[in-house]
Order: sequence, then C-alpha cells, then structure tokens
Amino acid sequence: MSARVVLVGLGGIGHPCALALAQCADISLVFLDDDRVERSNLHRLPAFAEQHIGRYKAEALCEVLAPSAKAGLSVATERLTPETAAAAIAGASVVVEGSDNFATKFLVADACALAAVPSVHGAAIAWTGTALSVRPKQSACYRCLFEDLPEGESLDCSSAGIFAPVTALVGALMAQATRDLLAHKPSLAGTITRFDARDGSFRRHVVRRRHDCALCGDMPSILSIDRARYLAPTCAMGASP
Amino acid sequence: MAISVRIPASLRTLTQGKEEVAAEGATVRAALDQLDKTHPGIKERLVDDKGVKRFMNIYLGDEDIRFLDALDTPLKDGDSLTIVPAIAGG
Repeated sequence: MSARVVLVGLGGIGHPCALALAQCADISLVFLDDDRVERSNLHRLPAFAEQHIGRYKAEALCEVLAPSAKAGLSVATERLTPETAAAAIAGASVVVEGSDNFATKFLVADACALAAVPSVHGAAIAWTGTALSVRPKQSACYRCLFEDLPEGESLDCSSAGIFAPVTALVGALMAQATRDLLAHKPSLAGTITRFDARDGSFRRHVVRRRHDCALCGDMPSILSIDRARYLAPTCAMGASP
Repeated sequence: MAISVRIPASLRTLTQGKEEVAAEGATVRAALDQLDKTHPGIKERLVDDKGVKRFMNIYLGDEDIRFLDALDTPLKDGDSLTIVPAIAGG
C-alpha cells in the first residue's frame, strides 16, 4: 500500500513540490486547492501555459502530470476549512502545506498535530523562502516556531512580492523533507531551513519544542479545530519583489 | 558590544534594503533599542510589552533567544542576531 501524501496549496511552492513527488512510485498524491490559474502565476508554475489560465490548479496539474507520473494522483478542488480539515488529512502519511495564507498554515499545523500526521510547511516572500518539517510529538511543531497568526502588520507576497526561483527551491526542499519523513530518516524535522536568494545562502535553525506550546506542549490548549482561531487575510498574488 | 543583525526581506523597507545592519548593546534589548534609533520603527515590529512577538523569532547564532534569557540575553562583540518572521507567500 502506497503512502498517501496530501498537498495543500498548489501555488508557487506547492506546484514544484508536486512535480518532484509525482515521480515517486511509492506514494499517492492528493492535490487540494480551490484556486485557479491566473496569468500572473505562470512565471512560477512551470508546468502551466496560456491554455491553463482560468482552470483549477489542482485539476490542471493532475492532467499535465498524469502521462508521466509514477505516483498515483487525485484531486480535490475545494478550500481547506476548519470544517473539512480533519477529513481532508485523514489517512495521510504526510501533509505538505504550501498555502499562501497564515490561516491555512495554522489550520494544517493544528489538524496534523491533533491527528498525529507529519507535516511539511513551506513559505516564500520576496527573496526568502523557508521550509519546516514536523514529526508530531518528536519534533517542534509549527506553533513552537510561530505561536499564532500575525496581527495584521506582517508583510505577505502581495506587498513584498516573490522572486519566482525562490518558490521552486522551496518546493524542492519540501519534496525532500517529505521523502525523509516517509522514510523515517533522522531528518531535519524540527529544523527550519531558510534560503536567501540575494546571497544564495542557506541557514538552518533548530526549533526547540516549547513546553508551553498551545498545540504540543505539556498542557496544550488546542484540543480541537475551532474556526475562530483561523481568521486572517489571504495573500493576493502577482507582485514582484 | 558591536554586533550584526540579519534583517529578513519583509523588514528591509526599514533598513533601506540592507540585509545586514550593525547594532550595539550589552543585551538583545539594548541592541534593539539602539537599532531602533538608526532604523526607526523596527523595534515595534519585533517586540511588544510581553517580549518577542509571537510570530517573530530572534536567534543569537543558532539559538532562539526565548531559550536563553529572552531580551535580556547578553551579547558579546561579534555576535550575530537573525530575525525570522512568520511568512506566508507561495
């Protein structure tokens, strides 16, 4: 039976991650994204071209990859919500989160921790990208690193833009992290990898588990998915750094 | 104590695009106070009255200052602080 990998978000970082994982014969991939391809996305979605504009990213990517993919492919063109999260990740071996908004990032982090499913989180903004993998109960979780959603003032890709090659590199990092989690390697789980395209540097920081973490600490307060925890603006796409 | 501070892309509008800036201080708090004088507004992006903001991380070398003495973490010449904010682009 193949490992089930759920990809949440098929934008600039989820897309290249999917391209890499689709060549793995020992997994089945589930593409989960309700977004559609826009012209402004094309520079960081290398498998797409003009004819894909307006189509669901998940469906179009599945169609493009199907002829050559070694992995099994399936599609869900729906948005991950607090109401659907538990079902969406049920049975997953790893969830790969490459969404463009904090609400989804924290929702995936929480749902995965509660279901004891390993996860990989990626993000990119301007010249910088990050990747973090999480092995529940063994490594630090996303909330050990970032306790809660930013309060309105953080920059996102709509204000800072994205240098497209950074997203491809983060996608590759996430694919490798997924392979490591599936192989139960003593991987970089709990380590955040940061790439800065301005000087080509990689930096890694070990994220320690926080005893007071609301999600995985000694006395966790997040015991279920509550919609009120995930209220944040989404990230408009298309800006340049 | 003369130190360097690596600035994330999301905060470089406050440092005239510089990815690394110099600061001085005997503690992280003092260094941020001094940094705020040369780059006004940066401190409030990093800390609030409870300490380092919950979606920010400040590393001294490879260690999160929350696991040291937080803002009272002492610094020595040549130390390097790295600011790691939550980001959500993709």
